[in-house]
Parts: sequence; structure tokens; C-alpha cells
Amino acid sequence: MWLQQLINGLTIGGVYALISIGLTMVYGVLKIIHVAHAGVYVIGAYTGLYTYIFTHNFFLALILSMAVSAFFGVLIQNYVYFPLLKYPPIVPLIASIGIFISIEEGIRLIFGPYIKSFPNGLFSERYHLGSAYLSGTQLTVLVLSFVFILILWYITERTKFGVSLKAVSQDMEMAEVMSINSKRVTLITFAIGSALAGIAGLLVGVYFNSVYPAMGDMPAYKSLAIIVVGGMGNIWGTFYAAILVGLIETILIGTLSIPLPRDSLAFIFMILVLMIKPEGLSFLFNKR
Amino acid sequence: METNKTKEILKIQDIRVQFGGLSALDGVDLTIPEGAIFGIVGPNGAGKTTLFNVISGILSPTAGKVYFNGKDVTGNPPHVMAKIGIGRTFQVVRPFSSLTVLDNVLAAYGERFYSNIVLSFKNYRKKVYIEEVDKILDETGLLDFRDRVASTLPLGYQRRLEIARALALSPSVILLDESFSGLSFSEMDELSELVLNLNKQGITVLIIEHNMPITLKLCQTISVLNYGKKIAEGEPDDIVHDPLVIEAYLGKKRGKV
Repeated sequence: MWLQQLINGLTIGGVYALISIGLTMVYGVLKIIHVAHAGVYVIGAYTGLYTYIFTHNFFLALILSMAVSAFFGVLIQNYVYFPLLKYPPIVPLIASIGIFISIEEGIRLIFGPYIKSFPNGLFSERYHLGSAYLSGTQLTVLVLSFVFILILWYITERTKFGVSLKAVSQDMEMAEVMSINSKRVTLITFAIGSALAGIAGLLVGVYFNSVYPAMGDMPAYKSLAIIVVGGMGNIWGTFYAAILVGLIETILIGTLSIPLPRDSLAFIFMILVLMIKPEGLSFLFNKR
Repeated sequence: METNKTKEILKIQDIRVQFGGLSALDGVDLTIPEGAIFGIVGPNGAGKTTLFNVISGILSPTAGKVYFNGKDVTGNPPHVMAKIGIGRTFQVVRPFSSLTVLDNVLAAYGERFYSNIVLSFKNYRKKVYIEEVDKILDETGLLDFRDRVASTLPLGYQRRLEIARALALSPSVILLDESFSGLSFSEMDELSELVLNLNKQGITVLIIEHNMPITLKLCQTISVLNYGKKIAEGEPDDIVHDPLVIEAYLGKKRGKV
């Protein structure tokens, strides 16, 4: 029972992490709340779904949904946020909400408002782990989320790009003077963050076996709550926050049967964190 | 003007910077010979930091040219200026506060780190880099603080860190913006020794400084700015006796025009 909840919580938490990390990275470099990130997530889900329908190749679906999402992310950064950076943050925020709605409605127009599902037979195996069991989709989602988060860890913590990302997040002007091309760093950040969102979209589509235009709504709000809990802009704070929210949701709903909607829990958690520790989980990472 | 013996490394020609109706720099010319320690002084608001911002690419001048090693580099973005070898520090220290001292310096590694997108996904903590950074840290007296988080350093060391980061660019010119302010006497002595040392290695140093004794001691040539214009230039001894300079700092004598 508990093991089962743990597995379910980690799975959903891993997906939350994939979505929210992109959001927090963007907030880190540009200080923009990138609501349209959830739109990129929907784009990733649809790209993956259609690639899979046409090719029956999950690997290809994964790669394409990453590539297309990254492309859209870079497009949004370059043609919307970049020109708006000189205005107060409310302006790019409104633009971002506009893009998010346009993406969802655009998809509704092109692909219709219906829920679409993956063809049968995608990861239909089941694995038993003592009293708990793991479906094939669950295993795929779990493994892929954590693999990509590991890759991200390597990129941000070990590479030259990672240091330059941290430098730009802390002080863009100073980073420039220290030879870092901040525009390039920002674009790569968008590409990586959006690719992660695309993967998340595909994985959620596979996990619940449904892809529909409004699937980005809940992630749009929930990932905001998660990055607040994680300490705006803090990648690993956000990662732990996402896992925590995933676990809290499944465990509280699954075992204690609390009479609250599942999706409200992230926000209650956010409000509690804001009241007790406004800087979020980032205090865990402030080395002395 | 100059003898042919010394090459000019930086040449600033008729630079004008206009902020709305205010002219922060109003046609400044400077020629900085290679290997010099060159001082820029002037009252607050004279345009000294604006001049540094133009040289380091943070500001594009409204008019005028900046030549570096004979090449026109006017209006290049700051990261380009940094890569070609112009390092700078700021009046207010701005370390990347959550990074360690080592990572702060590594982040400023210039051309060798960020010239190629693909290569920038390689590991940055290579032995070669770390050894080089250790040398810089040793030189700037930061080696003992190597793994400390930058924000926890005392001010004097944060200033050294600024210089260490500028050195990571392997610069041929560094611009020091009031690096001596707020330091204790012993810290000032150590820092001026460091500046002299860097200069001995062939790095040209531009200094903005309010502390006159230090400026007079370090610099071979001093330029005085006031209201965005150069009002005097020369050797330290001449500068302190220049009537225009005295006027800029202390005001006009009564009865004089």
C-alpha cells in the first residue's frame, strides 16, 4: 500500500519536476513568469502523440516532441520576451498568458477539442514489486523523468554552460562583462526548459492516455505553485518541491482520503510555505 | 603627440553619451599607451563610470569611437569586449554570490570557455583550468578562500575577487572602478601592490579613483574629467597644480572669472 503510493507519487512528482524546472530556469534568467511554458507542454504532448500514431516509434516521438517544444520555446523567447524585456515584468507576463491561450486555442482549432489517446499496446506490461505493482507506462514515465533530470543535473552542475547559466541568473550585466553571451545562454535555457516541458507533455499523455487542448491548464497553475515552494529560480529547490507535491498528493488522497480536490493540495502547500518560509526550499541550498 | 616607441592600446575618440537632455560625456578623447597605469579622476558625476561603461560595452556611445589595439570596437556588446581582453570591475562589488570563489573565477573564463556552443556543454572543472585559476587566486591572495561562497568574503577580498575574475579573461587592459574605496589602509597597500604587479606583467591598468594619494602614487598619467569633459591631463605633479583641476574640486576663487 505505502510502496504503491510512493511509486505513484514519485512518478507524478517526476513529471511535475520536468515541467516546473523549465519554468524556474526561465524565471531565473529573465525574471519572467513564463505561463506559456504550459502551452509548450501541450505542443510536446501533441507532437509526441502524432509522431507515435504515424510511426509507432516511441523513441522518435520523444525526440521530436523535445525538438518541436524546444523550437517553440526559443521562438517565444526570441520574438516575444526579448523585445519586451525593457518593460516592467507585468508586460511579458500578460504577453505570456496571451501566448498560452493562443497555443491552446490554436491546437483546438487544428486538432479538435476531443480527448485523443495513444494506440493500444503502448507499454502494456505489468511488473510486480512485492505488494505493489508497476505498469509499463508508469515505469517508462518514472525512468525517463529521472534520466532527463540526471542529464539536466549534469548540464547545470558540471558544464561550462551550467556555470554561465548560474552567473547570468544572478547578475546578467556582470555575466556579460565576464565574457558570457547572456542572450545565447538565455536561448539555450529556453531550449532546454522547453524540451523538458515537451517530454513532460508526452509522458503525461502516455500516463493518463489522454491528450487534449486544455491539458496545459492545471500544469500552468500547479507549476507556479511548485516553483514558489522551490524558491523562484532555484532548480534543485524546484525539483524537491515537485517530488514533494507529487508525494503529498498521492499519499494524502490515496491513504487518508481527504475530502479536498487533488489539485488544491499544491496550492495549500504553497500558501503554507509562503507563511512559514517565504524563500521556499531554496534555504536548503544556501551554503554557508 | 606620442612618441612612436609606445603603442597605444586603447584610444577613445570624441566620445559623447547623451541621457535624454543630459550629456554625461561631451566629447572625451583619451589615448592610453600600452603598459601604462592610467588614472581617471574627477568630482562625482563627472562621467568617469559612464566612460568605463562605454569602454566595456555596457553603453553604446551616442557618438565617437573606441579603438582597441587599433581596431574599432565601438558599440560591441560587453561579452565581446571581455573576450578580446578588456576586463573591468565595478564600483560596488558584485560577485556571483552563491558560487564559490573558484567557480566565480571559472565563470569568467572568456573566449576559452564560451567560444563554441557545443564545447560549452563539456565539463568545466578540468584540471588545466583549475590550475590556471589557482594561479590567479594565488596572485590575488584568494587561494585560502578558494572554496568559500563568494558572498561570505570580507569586502577587501570581494574586491580582489572582482580583479581575479577580470584576470581570468587574460586581459590586456583592466578597468578598476574605485577598487580602493572602503578598504582599510593595509588592504589598500596590498591592493596597490597587486596592481603594480599586474602592470609589471604587461597589463595596462585604467583606474578611476577618489583617493588622491593612491592615484598619485600609482599612475604615470592622470586625466581629469568634469561635467563630461576632459579638463586636464598630465603627470601627477602637474595635475595637482593645475588651476582648472583645483577649481573643479574646490570651486572658483572669488573675484576671478
